[in-house]
Amino acid sequence: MLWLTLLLLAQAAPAPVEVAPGAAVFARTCAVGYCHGTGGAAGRAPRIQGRTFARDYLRKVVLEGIPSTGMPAWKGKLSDEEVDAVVAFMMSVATPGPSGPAAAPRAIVAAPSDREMPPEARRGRELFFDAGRIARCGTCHLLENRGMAIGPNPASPPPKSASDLRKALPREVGLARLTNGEQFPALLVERKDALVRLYDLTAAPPVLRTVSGAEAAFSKPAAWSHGQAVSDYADAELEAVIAYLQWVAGP
Amino acid sequence: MKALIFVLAAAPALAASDGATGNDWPQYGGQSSAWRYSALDQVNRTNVKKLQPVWVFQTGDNVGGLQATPIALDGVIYLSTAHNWVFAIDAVTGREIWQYRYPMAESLTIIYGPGNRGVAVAEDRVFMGTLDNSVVALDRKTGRELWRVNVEDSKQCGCNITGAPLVVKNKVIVGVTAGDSAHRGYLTAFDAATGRLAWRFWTIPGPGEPGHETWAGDSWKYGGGSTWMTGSYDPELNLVYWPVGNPAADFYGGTRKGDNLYTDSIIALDADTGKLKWYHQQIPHDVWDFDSAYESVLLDLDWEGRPRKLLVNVNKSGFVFVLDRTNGEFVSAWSVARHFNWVKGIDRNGELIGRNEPELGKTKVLCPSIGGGRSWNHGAYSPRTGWFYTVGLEWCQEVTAQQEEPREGDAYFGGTFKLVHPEGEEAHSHLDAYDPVTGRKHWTYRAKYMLLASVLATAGDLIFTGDPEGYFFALDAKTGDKLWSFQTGNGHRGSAVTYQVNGRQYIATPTGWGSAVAALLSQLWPEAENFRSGSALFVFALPEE
Ligand code: HEC
Repeated sequence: MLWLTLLLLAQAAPAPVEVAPGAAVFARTCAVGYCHGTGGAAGRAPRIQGRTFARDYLRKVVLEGIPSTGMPAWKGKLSDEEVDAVVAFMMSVATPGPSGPAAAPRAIVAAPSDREMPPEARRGRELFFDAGRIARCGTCHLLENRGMAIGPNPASPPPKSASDLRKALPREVGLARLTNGEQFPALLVERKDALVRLYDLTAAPPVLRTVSGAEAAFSKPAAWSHGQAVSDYADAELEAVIAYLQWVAGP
Repeated sequence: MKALIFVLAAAPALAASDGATGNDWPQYGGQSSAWRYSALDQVNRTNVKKLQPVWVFQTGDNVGGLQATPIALDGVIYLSTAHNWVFAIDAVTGREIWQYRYPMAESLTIIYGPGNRGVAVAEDRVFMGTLDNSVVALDRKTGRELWRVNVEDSKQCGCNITGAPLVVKNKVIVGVTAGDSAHRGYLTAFDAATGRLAWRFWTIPGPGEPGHETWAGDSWKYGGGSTWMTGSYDPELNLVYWPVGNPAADFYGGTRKGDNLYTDSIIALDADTGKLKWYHQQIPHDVWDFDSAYESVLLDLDWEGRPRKLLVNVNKSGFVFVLDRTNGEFVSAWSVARHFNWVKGIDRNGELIGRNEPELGKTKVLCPSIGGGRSWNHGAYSPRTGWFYTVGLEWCQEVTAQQEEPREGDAYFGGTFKLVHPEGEEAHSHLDAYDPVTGRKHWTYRAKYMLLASVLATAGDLIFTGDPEGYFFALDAKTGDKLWSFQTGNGHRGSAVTYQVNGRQYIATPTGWGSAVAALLSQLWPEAENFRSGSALFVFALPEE
């Protein structure tokens, strides 16, 4: 019976029942603030009302966002049903586009990483990206598309203990010496066009410096230890972060 | 409606010429006291009708509006565009000297839209904040990048830098956006030479800090308090004054019970350490998105019989708050917007009277709209008239509060709104001349659409600004009469400046329509949706003899 209803829904023009939940999603997600305006009447973001859209296009934009604009990707933030509903709502206020108002085949929405996450790893993720610390792991490392890729991928392989994280010997970090007398622990990024680019790791956040090759010398090793970078974390916190890194690395 | 009526006028004191610019326009607000006033008077009330364009510079970065204040120093103009391109331009000929394009990740999401309000120039360096929340230092002669530092990952915090940095001594001070997102605001200072962090001030106190108790539960973690515009600096007191934005969620405060310090406040920080010297909160527990984000104009005036060091700040509600800038004591408040019903008024102690708040699930008409009783575009102060020149916006909104789940870095408005015309008249704007302390109005100039460009005042007794239809015009500072206007072909959203090279005075204005508030105009005027975008600097001077 349920099966039949679904089939019917897919073939008929969108039933009004589909629009009401979509209106609620739209109000909560799309109409807010400076965005698309109440009911899609336009804000800073474009008007939806009265414009011509293809349903597939709307679905794609909702899921993936539009890079270099204010339009975020809602994949993983809205459920499959919510995406369907909000697209249906937008089609109801827009002028029907090339693919018509009929329901397009359902795209497969990738759910957020739904791999079981132990509470300790969850706490570790919060600590890794803890906005209250300037020298958080994410200031120098990128994971799950957040943070800055200044240091290496910290989950391949994941460290085993807090003391690993504190005592890790520098492999890439060296000492930069500039002709003006400055000296600092640095990570070499590139040498190009007689210029040297390197991260100054003296303090967080690291500073990307560009200096002329003639003014800079870079040599390894440096009197730097990863312990300085993680000094804002207690051992117990680092253990939780490691649980998170192990979760990222997977079984 | 006004709760405060003063009969006295504030008299300009002698020291008041300090905020004027001369041949150069060295800083964002003219000088660090943010007057936006120039002592140049070659162009004046009698000859302004002969003003003509001498060159135009097209930046090519045409989306997002050209919102910058150009910096003019030693015959060179430094101009930044919406996507963080920087140009050094010969101030006499308009020839490009160098350009720099910040390498922006294509995948960047910009919740508040692209835009940049200017660079800071100090000694041999040019500093700019970027859309991906970094600060860069460039070599002033060549435009080559010297250092770059990411303030906080914009993928995580959803914040950008659109305001111009403020350089104080050897530090570059920058604020960030994200006041309407689930984010905890801050102000950060970096060492100008090395880019290293010098200090950070969190605009929302953390656990254990005074003021933390003004936030219920975990709301402090996502409470907004952005620092998206540029502060002022008093070298004598060594204090940096920074305006702090609204709390998030904007329209719903049920989950953040308390005063929500230091949102909607002026904070005075020690320039060297970033330590709080005093604060004054204009709107405790804001539920209207009425930031204290805009300029703080520093004026030394005689008030009630004694010389006072004052700070004049325009809140987004349209209320102007006047404080004693030595200690944050409240002096007066008055409104540039005539249509307001979010409060009945403000009393002699600076307390709000009769709050009228958005309600959960119920639609209410509140004035002014989220676009503000004024937008960020700055006012100007002329010591010759002793008046403050600024815009007022007359518009309202139907607003419905709703409870939203905070998701770090995502928009967190707590409601929706739709702009409406005020009762009994069409929405419009006006540029007026006021006594800065009492708000007594001396003249008014009415405009059809919202005036969204800054004001420039000069010793030629001229007031310059531009409108959304592309006109750049000059008003008589004493009467408000329109003396000259020029169609630049694009709407105005930036800040005009003036400078002099080889004895010739130039007036430079950015043109280029865009920005969040500009886009809202179409809710009231459908034709505004098709206002053209662009990005150019127009420069005017008197014909050479
Ligand atoms: C100030 C920047 C910075 C911060 C903060 C930081 N790291 Fe690192 N991290 C680095 C750099 C640089 C390296 C590479 C060092 C080298 O190989 O020379 C590194 C290396 C690592 C490594 C690899 C070690 C190895 O030997 O392969 C791991 C794992 C790691 N970091 C995890 C973390 C964790 C977890 C945190 C937070 C608790 C953190 N980092 C905080 C900069 C930082």
